[in-house]
Amino acid sequence: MVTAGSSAAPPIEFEQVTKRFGKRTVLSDLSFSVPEGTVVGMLGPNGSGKSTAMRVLLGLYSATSGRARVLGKAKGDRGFADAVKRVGTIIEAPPLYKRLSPIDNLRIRVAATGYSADDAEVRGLLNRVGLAGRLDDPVGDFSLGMRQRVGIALALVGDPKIVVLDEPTNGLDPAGSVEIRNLIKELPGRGITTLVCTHRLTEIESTCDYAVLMQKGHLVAQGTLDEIRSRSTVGGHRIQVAPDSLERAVATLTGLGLGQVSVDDGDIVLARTVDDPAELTRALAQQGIYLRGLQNQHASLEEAFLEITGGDHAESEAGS
Amino acid sequence: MNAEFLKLRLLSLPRWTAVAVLAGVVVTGAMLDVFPRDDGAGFISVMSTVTSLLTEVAAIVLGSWAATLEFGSGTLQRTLTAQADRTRVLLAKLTVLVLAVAALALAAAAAAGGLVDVVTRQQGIDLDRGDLAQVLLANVPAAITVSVIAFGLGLLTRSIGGALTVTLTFVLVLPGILVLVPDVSRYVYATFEGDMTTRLAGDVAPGAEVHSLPVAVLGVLVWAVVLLVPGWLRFLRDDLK
Repeated sequence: MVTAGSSAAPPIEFEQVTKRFGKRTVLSDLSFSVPEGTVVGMLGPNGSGKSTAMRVLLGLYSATSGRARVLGKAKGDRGFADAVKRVGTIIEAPPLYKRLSPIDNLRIRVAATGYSADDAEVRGLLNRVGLAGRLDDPVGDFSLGMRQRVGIALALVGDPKIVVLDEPTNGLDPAGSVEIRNLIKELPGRGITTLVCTHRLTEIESTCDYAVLMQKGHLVAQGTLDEIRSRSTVGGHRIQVAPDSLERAVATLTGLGLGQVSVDDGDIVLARTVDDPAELTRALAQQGIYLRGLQNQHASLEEAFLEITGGDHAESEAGS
Repeated sequence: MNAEFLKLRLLSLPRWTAVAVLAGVVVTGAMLDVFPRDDGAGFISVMSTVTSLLTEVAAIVLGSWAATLEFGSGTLQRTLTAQADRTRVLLAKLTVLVLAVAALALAAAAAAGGLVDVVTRQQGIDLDRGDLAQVLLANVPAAITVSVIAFGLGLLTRSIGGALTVTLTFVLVLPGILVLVPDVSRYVYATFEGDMTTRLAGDVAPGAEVHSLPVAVLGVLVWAVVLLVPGWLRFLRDDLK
């Protein structure tokens, strides 16, 4: 379970949630929680159950079994409706009245939730997501990326404690994606807990503290990004020695029984990660071979994801 | 409820529906000025029939729209995250709908009454203004009820086209067919609604078989509840996007 130091109920918590549509199981025994003030990424290929999990969390869908809690309240609990009001959300497409302007869309949201947000605050928020100058145009005339910005403004209006964003940079150009990612990174500073659902690995790597990996309705991995990367067998070390010592160094390292040792572009490549790299320097020094360099090799999130999911598709490039 | 009022004010369909009703009333008034009737009752009858039809169709449109707006525009998610208590969502929508339809029907009745008054004065025709007001206002409850029925059928069909078709068929087409089966037609919605309006208008023809006002009102309410509840329950229970 993804956890933090706080002992209070986590803002978002899934406890053995299963969701079936007829005979089709879309979520299977999903359990994880999101610590307060963090940005957690829910990563999985299309159809992995991310959006369904969000809908169960917000009470749009009923769980077949298990409980999904937002601010400690599950659907059916007293106070659930008030808890959900504190969540700003976009699931799949931004939900907009297309004949209305961004400002009128936000006014309706403010009225529906009962938040106190005056016109200046609403305009300020729209300016912040890059919509200055288009505040009074119908959102139906906007590009997909601009609608996405209105959707994000909708999610942030009022004083949300939690923001749930499903594919937040969908349709945005690279500059727009960076702006939105920077905005997401600011949210913990405002005390907002954020869950970003995406099939884009770059999104997770650039914005999230933790990640939850889903595949076919199952949670297949969770933890900090480093923890997830460490689950990959991709790793090892690259070692540089003097060219005249290369063959002896390879022989020495092979003799240590540390797995496959190869040479790549003049570097020695050790496939397995050694717990204590000093062990390597010591062994080589005893043979009179001194290191010119040693780098630890890490799996990228993409490599870890592909390995964990058995090659199931997730996109590594924004916009691809 | 404030959000529902805002939608009503900001979105275009309610505005155009109101414009269509009032334009229809004005055109009818103009036609009565050009082609006058022989007596005051004739003016009242024409204007009442037109106003009744216009407000009923408008009520069906507004009821269907109110129930299906979020399904059609993909905004259900934001509505249900702003207010996760679905009963409250429906009550807010229904309350605003009833108030809007009542306001529109009253405005149409007021405009119709004013126009008939002006036209008959111009024509030098004596008119019982009490009768005029009673007949025109008698249409208001029927408009409200039919909007509730359209709302219920909208929740059931989740499509404005579906809701319009089913409600118009039920309210306007089916009664014309069921007239062929008198024992059945006595208990259909349109009969109760017609009898309620006739009683409220004080316009019962001698010898006509008309339900008493309490029975007619009860019949209308039972039909409204029967047609509202299935869609309401579906909305409360289903998984919704």
